[in-house]
Amino acid sequence: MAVGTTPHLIPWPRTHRSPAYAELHAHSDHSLLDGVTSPELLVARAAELGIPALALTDHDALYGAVRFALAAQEVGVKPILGAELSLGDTSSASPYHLTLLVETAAGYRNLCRLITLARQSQEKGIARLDKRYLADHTEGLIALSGCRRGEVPMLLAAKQFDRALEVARGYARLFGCERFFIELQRHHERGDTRLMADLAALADRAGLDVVATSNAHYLHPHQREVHDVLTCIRNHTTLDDANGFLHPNAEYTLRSPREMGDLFRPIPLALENAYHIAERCAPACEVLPAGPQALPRYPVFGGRSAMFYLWTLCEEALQRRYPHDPPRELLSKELAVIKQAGLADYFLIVWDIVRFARRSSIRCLGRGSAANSLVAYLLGISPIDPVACDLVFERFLSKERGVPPDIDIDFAADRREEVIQYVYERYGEAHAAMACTFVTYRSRSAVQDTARALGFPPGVVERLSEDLDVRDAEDAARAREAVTSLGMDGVEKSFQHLLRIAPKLHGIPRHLGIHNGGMIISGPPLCELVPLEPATMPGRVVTQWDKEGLEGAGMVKIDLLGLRMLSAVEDAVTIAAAQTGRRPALERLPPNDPKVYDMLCKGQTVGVFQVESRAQASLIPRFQPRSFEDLVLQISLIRPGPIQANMVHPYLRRRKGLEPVTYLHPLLEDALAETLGVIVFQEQVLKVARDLAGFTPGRAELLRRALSHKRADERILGFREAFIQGALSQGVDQETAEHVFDQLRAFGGYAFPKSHAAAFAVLTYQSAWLRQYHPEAFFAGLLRHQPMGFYPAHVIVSEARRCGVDIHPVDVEASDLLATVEGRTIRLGLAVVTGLGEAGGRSIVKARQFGPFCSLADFCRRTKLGRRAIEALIWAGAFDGWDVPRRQLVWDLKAALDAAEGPPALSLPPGDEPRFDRLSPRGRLWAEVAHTGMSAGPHIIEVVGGKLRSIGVTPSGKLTELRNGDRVWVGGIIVARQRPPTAKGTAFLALEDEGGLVNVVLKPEVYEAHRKVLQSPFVAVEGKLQRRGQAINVLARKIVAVELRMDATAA
Amino acid sequence: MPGLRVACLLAPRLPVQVAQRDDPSLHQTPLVVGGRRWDDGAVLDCCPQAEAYGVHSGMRLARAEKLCPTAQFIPACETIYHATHHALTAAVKGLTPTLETADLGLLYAEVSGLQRFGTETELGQQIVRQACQSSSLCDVRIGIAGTKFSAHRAARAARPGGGCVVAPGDDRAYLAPLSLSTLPSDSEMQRRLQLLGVRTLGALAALPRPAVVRQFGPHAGPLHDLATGLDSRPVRPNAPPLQISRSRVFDDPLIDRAPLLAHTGRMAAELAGTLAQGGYQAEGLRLRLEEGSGTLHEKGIPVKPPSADAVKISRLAARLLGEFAATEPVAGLALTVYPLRPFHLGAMQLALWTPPQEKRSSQLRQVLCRLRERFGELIVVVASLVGAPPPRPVQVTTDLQGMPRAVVWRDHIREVKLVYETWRERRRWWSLPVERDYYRLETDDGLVRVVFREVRTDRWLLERRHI
Repeated sequence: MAVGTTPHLIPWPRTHRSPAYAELHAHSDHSLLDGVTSPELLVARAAELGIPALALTDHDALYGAVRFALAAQEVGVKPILGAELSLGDTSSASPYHLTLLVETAAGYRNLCRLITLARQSQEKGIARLDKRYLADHTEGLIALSGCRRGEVPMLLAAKQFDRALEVARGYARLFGCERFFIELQRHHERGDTRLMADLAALADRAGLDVVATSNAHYLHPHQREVHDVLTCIRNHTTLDDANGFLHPNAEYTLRSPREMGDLFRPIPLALENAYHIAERCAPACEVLPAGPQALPRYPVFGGRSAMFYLWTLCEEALQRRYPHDPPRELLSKELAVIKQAGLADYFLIVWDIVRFARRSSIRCLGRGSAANSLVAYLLGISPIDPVACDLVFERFLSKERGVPPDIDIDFAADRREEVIQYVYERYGEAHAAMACTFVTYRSRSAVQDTARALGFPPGVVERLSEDLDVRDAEDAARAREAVTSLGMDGVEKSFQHLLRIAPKLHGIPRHLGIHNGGMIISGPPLCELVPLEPATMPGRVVTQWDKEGLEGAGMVKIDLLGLRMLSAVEDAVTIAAAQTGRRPALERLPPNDPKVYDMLCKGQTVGVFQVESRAQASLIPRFQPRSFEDLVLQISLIRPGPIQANMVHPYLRRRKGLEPVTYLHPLLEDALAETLGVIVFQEQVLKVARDLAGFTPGRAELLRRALSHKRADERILGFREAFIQGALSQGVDQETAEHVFDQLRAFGGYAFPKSHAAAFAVLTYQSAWLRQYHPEAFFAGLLRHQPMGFYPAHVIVSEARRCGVDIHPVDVEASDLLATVEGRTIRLGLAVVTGLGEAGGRSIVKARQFGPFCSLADFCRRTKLGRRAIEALIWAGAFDGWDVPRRQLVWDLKAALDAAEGPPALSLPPGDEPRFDRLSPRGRLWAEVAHTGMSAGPHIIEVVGGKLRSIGVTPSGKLTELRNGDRVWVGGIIVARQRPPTAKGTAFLALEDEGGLVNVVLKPEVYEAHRKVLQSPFVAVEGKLQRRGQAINVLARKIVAVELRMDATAA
Repeated sequence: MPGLRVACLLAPRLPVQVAQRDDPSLHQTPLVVGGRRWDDGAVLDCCPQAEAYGVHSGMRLARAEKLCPTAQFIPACETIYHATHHALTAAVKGLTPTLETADLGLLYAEVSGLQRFGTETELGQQIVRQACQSSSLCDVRIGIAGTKFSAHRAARAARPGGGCVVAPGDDRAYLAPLSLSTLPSDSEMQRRLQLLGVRTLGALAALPRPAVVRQFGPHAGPLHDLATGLDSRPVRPNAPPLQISRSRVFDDPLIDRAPLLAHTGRMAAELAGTLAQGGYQAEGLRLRLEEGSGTLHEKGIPVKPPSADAVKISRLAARLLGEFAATEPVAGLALTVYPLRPFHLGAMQLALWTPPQEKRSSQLRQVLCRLRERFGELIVVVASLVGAPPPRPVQVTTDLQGMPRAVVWRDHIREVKLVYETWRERRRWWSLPVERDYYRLETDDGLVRVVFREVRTDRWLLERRHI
């Protein structure tokens, strides 16, 4: 564990009313749908009940171990780790349970291994440990015979005493008599007394000790109903049908020593044994990993240390990158912190991964807080010079930060798997795994699953989960009325249950997911540090701890993320190199090319990374970026933090000189000078706290983390006082200090760190440069990696056409799988044809290698494609080169498929075959759009062009001729709909016509009134033109749908 | 068949019409027939208003509710639909004996040589008038043409309460502009014809028949014929009836299952006899049970494969009876079989079970058959029919801790000698909560008994064993 000291057992007052007892069998909500309370609440209750030690024994998992250990330390309960393991081979329908407790650090390693073994080669969520694996992994573990589903109790229940005795002796041989106990539980269930008597007799015969446990699944009897609902969810059934799965009563609570004393009065030894076992077990903090895991040793020539090698690499790069005035002091400081944190190997591993990617031509980009580090810059992990950008190293790593660093690296999405495989190969599959995520219940899923368990009909469940927010009284009343109006028997009662239970599910983990890219690497086998289990994705293994769990245990991870824009940029560069014979060196581009900025300032940003959204596209003509630094700011301004803290407009006014640059206090000038007195970057929170309140860098970072935490209000309480006191001590008046703190609070941390924005800005600039100088390669690159970014593919096609790039349709004789460039023209790839699939596209390309297709039958024979796929190709226009009407081809397809399947036909073709005409131009357009989602010919808007003209719509290209405030009709296809939470109900539309894009702003009342109309693909909007510099918006007043039969065959 | 004239009498959306006839207020709102909105069934029929929301027959009720939340949902009532259908039949029966019931609210009659009733238009008006009167439905239509298909399309095209006559020899011309969707072809053929731009029956008829058969397969030939106005299907007066029913009313309502089972078995045997006599096979079975209070329960089951076998029908009827959890005496029983319609002939049941399950299921069936042969139909019953006898109230005296001290049983006080075990049950908190404290005890007569206290009512009861 990263923090804390070892809690010891409290000396126990030996009175007859409260015997010595520790709880050795308890489940938290991390038993995934078999436990109700969080580890924190579990230990809090244990402390309240006076339980000195508590073992967390979730099913086949240590999911909650870190949270449990941290929480137990706070309340002074000794945390013991354990698990209820499922034993049996895969053929056994119902596994046996066995309770395992960690006695020593070796026991922890064995438990991790056993859980991993139980999970491996099973489906996700299933655990089954073959008993023979137990033999080699019993060291340091104490075993209890388990609940009613333990092997021994089950045999006794089946009246097989001798067999049970034999099995118990078998376990005793495995673990040793002193480490195997017969577990006694009393839940006032039918047969309890008999079972306890049998177990006690068996223990006596086998010479084993007994131990009492409560097998708690919840804290209070009233939580039983939540447990019942979770049980139904787990078993996919309803309460009415779940009889065999539910506990018969509400006795599975966490019991106090006194209660246990009453229950086990005839066998006081069972309680004493529980206490003694707890004494023997090592506290969780002694067995959990503490601090960064032992990383694989990076092989350094000559047996030098990793630190030395890191220093050597940095020193070399320092001289290369800073020929004049190298920041040696900063480097020394960073290296000292890295050395102290023992992270030299970590940096070398990341450096090695990045080096592999570069060597394999996999485009990558380090981002996030790592860009604050000079070492990361010198190693080539981050493209950002922290000295030039004035970045703060403590944002990445500091003594006070208390959490391990993580480095985020984006890789070209289509090749990220190669990087992951490299890591697996280099360090071994046993030493690398992805981090998991816990998918927890939210309002909607809680309502859905609870309603289902309560037996609401599927239709009602669907509606309730869509409409009902149980925390909203008005919403609940509305839903109650709607449900009651159904007139179902007992619906009112069920609805009350729903309102009561669904909120209690909130936050309970439902199942495991896989983290986007978080990867853990370790020197020793990873399954000795944390249990591993398979994810849904074949071949992928996840740790049983999520990001917070790993952070809590002090383990470091590397985020290997996929970014499609990097793939698109790489493809664009490759295409441009093929066209021009020279590969554009994006890494060495001059960052201040005026043509690139001219293009951006005109709002021509479709496809450009980070600045293509409508909000960015509207801002950019007003912002007028002219340098890389401007680009960093431009990216950072459209974020929830600056927007909510009302920083955007003041900044723009100050930038234009429309209002003076002022500071709330002169001490803030240094921190906020670069952003003209407003807070834009996360790092500025650190600087403000440092300069105004005298916080240390580490403490300032803690404040920033508290501000961005989901429970920020409670987390920042402690900081507010310290901030104000600190500011007062620096001579700042109370009012200003409070004002600044409130600004920080509004800012909330929902902003980019400057380092992150700078890293992104590199890609923004590179993509903009490609768009400016190699548009056909750039747009082809984008089309090759759809879906990506803000717009659908047809907008990319239209935009390319507006940039003077011709688009050629899909052609079975010419198209590759993905878009290609032919001179100044982009040829659409076969992959855009809906229903063809990647394999289908590849089969065409492969078949074409042996020469062009002679006929439709030849095509069918060589590609082996099915009817639907070929029909899709015909309608997409992929056979238009043959100059045969598409309908004729569809008719002829039957004969072609028959001919392709059988031997060449000997009979003459029948003479009565019908002949079909060509499609009308409108029909062709629709067919193409319906089967590829885009048109290589006329713009999609052509199909409703007549209707739009009859309404009197002004084309987007002519809007610049109108004045601010003019009434106008605009129309087109809706390419983006947005209703950001920061906009307070205002919605934004992007319409496209042949000329370009039009921004439409919908006030909440207009949006509500036209909600249904907005589902139409084509709309016409009447509203007021708003001009702000070169940015043009239409404030909508009325919206009408332009109806159209979306049927390709209609023409 | 040259000279043949066929009339099609159509009461479209019969279930909806019946519901609106019986409750005129239902005209005002969208209406869905088939069950209550939360039922787990399918839509039987819906009005055009509901259809405008996307509701259609066969759709799940839950989905229909989602699409059209303002609709009224009412359960189907087959008895009334059949009575109404009989009224329609009666209106035509007086005119021509060659009458075929094709579906509820759909009749075909051969009307060749009925000039004595006037022109075909007058004849049609007369039939519609009589049908409207006898059924009290507003929307009854008639179509008269040279084939069943044309007559049906003509009836569909007619106004409510009106008719449409296709002149002899004009069938092809009449059908030509009709949409391709009117053809009873499969969706794949419809899709491909749409892709080819063939959107009317006329366009299909214009294609050479052999080419159509080559393109779509042999089943497309008759469809092409229909499009060209050819339909060789005759009017079949001996088509199986829509349903055959038997019922029993009990003056003294029955509580015991055994006589109910016997009655059900006898009704099933009678129905099987009727089916066999007509050469029909049942494809479905429905049992209606009326409680003394008037509450009706209905359950149905498909007969797979369709059969007229008395044993099979009896067994299915017994299973239906077993599914009822009647809490009151039963005052009436009605068993209905649905004969297989010609429309279904040639249909195929797909395999629903994987082989091992099928094997187990068949083994179980065989075992049950053998047991029934050996011990009789009434002895071997499904387990759900037999339950534990209900517990009986008993007087218990307790000590200060609440432990039973004595049990009063059949006017004798039995002192508790030993309490072997206690346990608690707290079940069904979501519906009818069961909160009981159980005691397994031995009384001074040497018997071991289980008594329990109902916590909510503080009543003591004696648990009785299964018999």
